Amino acid sequence: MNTSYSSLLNDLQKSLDNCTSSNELYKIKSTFLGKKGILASQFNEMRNISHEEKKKLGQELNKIKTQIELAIREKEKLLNAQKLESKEIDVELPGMNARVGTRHPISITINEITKILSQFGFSKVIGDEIETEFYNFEALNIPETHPARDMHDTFYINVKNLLRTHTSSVQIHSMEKYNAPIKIMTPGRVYRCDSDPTHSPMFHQIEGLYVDEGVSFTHLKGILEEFINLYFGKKMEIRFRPSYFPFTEPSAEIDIKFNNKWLEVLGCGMVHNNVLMNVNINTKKYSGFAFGLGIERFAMLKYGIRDLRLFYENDLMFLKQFSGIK
Amino acid sequence: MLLSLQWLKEFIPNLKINDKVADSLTSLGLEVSSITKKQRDLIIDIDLTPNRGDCLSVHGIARDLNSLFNKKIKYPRIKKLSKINKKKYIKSLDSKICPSYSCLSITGLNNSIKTPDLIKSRLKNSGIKHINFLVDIINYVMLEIGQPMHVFDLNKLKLPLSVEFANKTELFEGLDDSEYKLNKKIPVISDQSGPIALAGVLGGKKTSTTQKTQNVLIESAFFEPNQIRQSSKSFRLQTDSSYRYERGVDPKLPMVALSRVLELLSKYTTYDSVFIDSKISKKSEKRNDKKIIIEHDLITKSLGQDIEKVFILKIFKSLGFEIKVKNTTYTLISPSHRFDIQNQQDIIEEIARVYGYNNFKSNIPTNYIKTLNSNLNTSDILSESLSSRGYNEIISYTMLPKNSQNQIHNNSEIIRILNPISEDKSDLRASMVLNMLQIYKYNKSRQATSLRFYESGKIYSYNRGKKIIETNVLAGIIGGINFNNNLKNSRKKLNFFDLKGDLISIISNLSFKKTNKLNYLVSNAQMSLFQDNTFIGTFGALIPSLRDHYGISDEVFYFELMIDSIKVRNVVKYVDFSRFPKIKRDITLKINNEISIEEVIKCISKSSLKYMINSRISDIFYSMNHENSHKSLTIELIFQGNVSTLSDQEVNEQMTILIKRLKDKLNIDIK
Repeated sequence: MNTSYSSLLNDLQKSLDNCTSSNELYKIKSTFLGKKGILASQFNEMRNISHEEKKKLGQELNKIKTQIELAIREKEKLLNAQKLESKEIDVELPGMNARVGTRHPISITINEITKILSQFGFSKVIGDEIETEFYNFEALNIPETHPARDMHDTFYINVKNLLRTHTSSVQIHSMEKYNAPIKIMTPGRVYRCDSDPTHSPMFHQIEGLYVDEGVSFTHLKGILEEFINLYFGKKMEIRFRPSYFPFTEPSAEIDIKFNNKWLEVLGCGMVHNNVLMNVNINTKKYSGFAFGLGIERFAMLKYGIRDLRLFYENDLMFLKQFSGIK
Repeated sequence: MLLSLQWLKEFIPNLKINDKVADSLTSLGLEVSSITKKQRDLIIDIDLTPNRGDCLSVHGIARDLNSLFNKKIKYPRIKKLSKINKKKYIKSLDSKICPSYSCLSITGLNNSIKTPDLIKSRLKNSGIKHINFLVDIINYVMLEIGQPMHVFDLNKLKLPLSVEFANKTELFEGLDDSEYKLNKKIPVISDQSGPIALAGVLGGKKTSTTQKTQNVLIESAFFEPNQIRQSSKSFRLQTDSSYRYERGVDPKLPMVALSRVLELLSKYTTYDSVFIDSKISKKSEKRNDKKIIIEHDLITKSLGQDIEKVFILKIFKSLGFEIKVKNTTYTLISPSHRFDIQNQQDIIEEIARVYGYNNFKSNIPTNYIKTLNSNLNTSDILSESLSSRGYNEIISYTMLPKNSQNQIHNNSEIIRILNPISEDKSDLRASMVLNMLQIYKYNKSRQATSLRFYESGKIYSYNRGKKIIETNVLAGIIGGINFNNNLKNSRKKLNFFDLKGDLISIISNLSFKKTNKLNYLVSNAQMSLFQDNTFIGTFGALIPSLRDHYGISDEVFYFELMIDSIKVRNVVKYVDFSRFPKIKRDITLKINNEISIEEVIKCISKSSLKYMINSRISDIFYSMNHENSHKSLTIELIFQGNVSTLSDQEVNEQMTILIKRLKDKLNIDIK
């Protein structure tokens, strides 16, 4: 190879090594390959030499041209890659159209609870909130004259209709519809004439009902203990305490130990025969248990919320704390 | 109920005064909610359930607690009444009110003496006020054994007495200085001059006693719980007496109580003479003890665990039941104070609670029960979608301020609460729009700038036939800027189309129709929503007057979806798709303003062009020219062949058909 040609390649290599931007590269490209560039002038010089030499030299020059083009292309690729890595895009600017939507902690709690219960085979049933006295009270073995009605301060719509005080009314409708065996859970809003920092006139409950052959008190204990442990994510200290509800017998209240104090979290019991008979379930064959709990209370315990009113105030500062969980 | 453990110890002499007593009581269902130390005593507060009227006394608690210890209960001393002469004080009893009534007259009583300290402090610890010696004794005996009594001034009575329903509407002055309006449903004690006491609830002012009273008549009766409850409820008046009577007082107790009172009077003071009268209404004589028969197997089956026969016998003996056992069958008669024991389940509960709920095993049932539904919940699925599009779920009160919905709903639609807790929670919502505005305003006033809320819940209204209708809805509101975190130059105000886009994103097969039926949405900025031709809701811009009412200056947009009408896709049928290249064509149409975009879209989609697989509006330009106002609409059309790549000519042919159709049907020219 002609020595001047090989020095040409060396020159190119030097320029390329020093080149740091696409602008400089463009200049290099025109210096070597442009119409008035080095290579062009070399081709021009061939006019003055013999045909034979021209052929040989031409081949050589074309080879060089290809090499130069290749070297410049390589450098171009390198520069482009460097450009991407360099700070020409300021990745620290905020993302576009970011959105932090949230579910309400009460919905989250209902979802968590229904997910656990559905593992035990409970089916979700949603019922009406405006009920009759029969479904809210009488069918549940709570006659008009019973002192237990004092436990329920009821909102009335008219003589016949009221806002349900518990979701137990849904159990009655479901047993009328499906009879036994039955295994349901009934989340929803309930209403009581009560308002102070620990009571709201509207709140949420979920109740469960399981009626089948051979359902016993030890089953009630088994399922509810397991449920509470699963909800709180660890083995809890649990106490069953005899209590009273007109619609269950035996009745129990479940307390859990929280910060060294017993807290009442759940009411339950074996379904009262009067209730089963009211919906034509054969009490010789079937028995069952029922339980009910306040969603707000479960949410408060889990999230460390102290004031019930936060749930209905719907302050974004509150709501947004629940991002990322369903 | 407050209870002194030292007092309890008088009934159970071996009782150790410590916190363990509270645990034992709680394990029996007599929940101890607090323990207070007082000198050498512990005062515990017991939350009694309404079925345990028998435990409303120290004796009652001792009796129940003893089921765990099984020792002999020590009864307080009494003075026998059998030698006391009878005098007729009672004329008649209405058996509906009062199965039995007894009274004791005492003359020449020295009532001016000081109440003994022990009695005074026990009353105080139980939350009962000191009145005078005799009344204190009466209250003391009530706390001790559970029988409410009342004292009349004998000199002020026009004997004999009757227990009856008030026979006319008149005012009665109670010893609490309040006036009570009587009616024919109110049970009263009357003398010859009229009502002198609200039976079982409250004595009268006229015949009340003082420290100076020397001649008294002490009433001790059994009243029907339901009657006392109704009376107490109608006056919204609960007294220590009514509280006990409505829960049921042992019918055998009235005479015991009088003999205990007489014992204490003899012990502490002096009197001249004593007479007694007692009457039983005819009906109540038939009251006989009910037998409950139960098989051992049923107990085992219900509890899920076998309890030894010996233990069962022991429990019921200690609780005062009569129990006989033959092979595996128990026959039980409950003691007269246990009104709550009616059937086999009650018996099983007694066994369980004395055995100790926490001593039972835990079992998980293994039966399989078919689930009732697919657990596919439309509301939950849509809620998740909205939340992932940046919406915050809220939960608001379904009760709104009185008459607050007047502006937006017909008065006749609104369901109202008869006994609201306050005026601001008195009408049920017929839509969620006011809830949404309220929460919007609340957060706006707390400097929130980008607001998207939704709620899933019910709305309520009367239909034309005055029937109550509950509807499950998912409603929401948006307003403010689109994205808080965007740089300033890419922030925009949220608008109608942001909401429209969100709705399209969360509901499949959604279509729209212009409407103006909702008066709280701007009439030319609202649309009905349809899914497969089913109406599923409405959305649009809220009218400024309503926003103004809440002081909201942002343009805000509201939607309300009928959850039960919406179908969430759960079945997909796969269709083969073409893999040949798609060909895109744009046409720009100049249309005058009389023609709606909807008509153009319909015309295109109904033209059933061959190969056309999609069309959409890609641009729009409104000409402001006064003489000839029009819009230019650019539509992007996509063609694709199923069996081969389409040629230009094939697509051109279809375009020609379309252009002709637009001209023929809508007189639209291509630009």
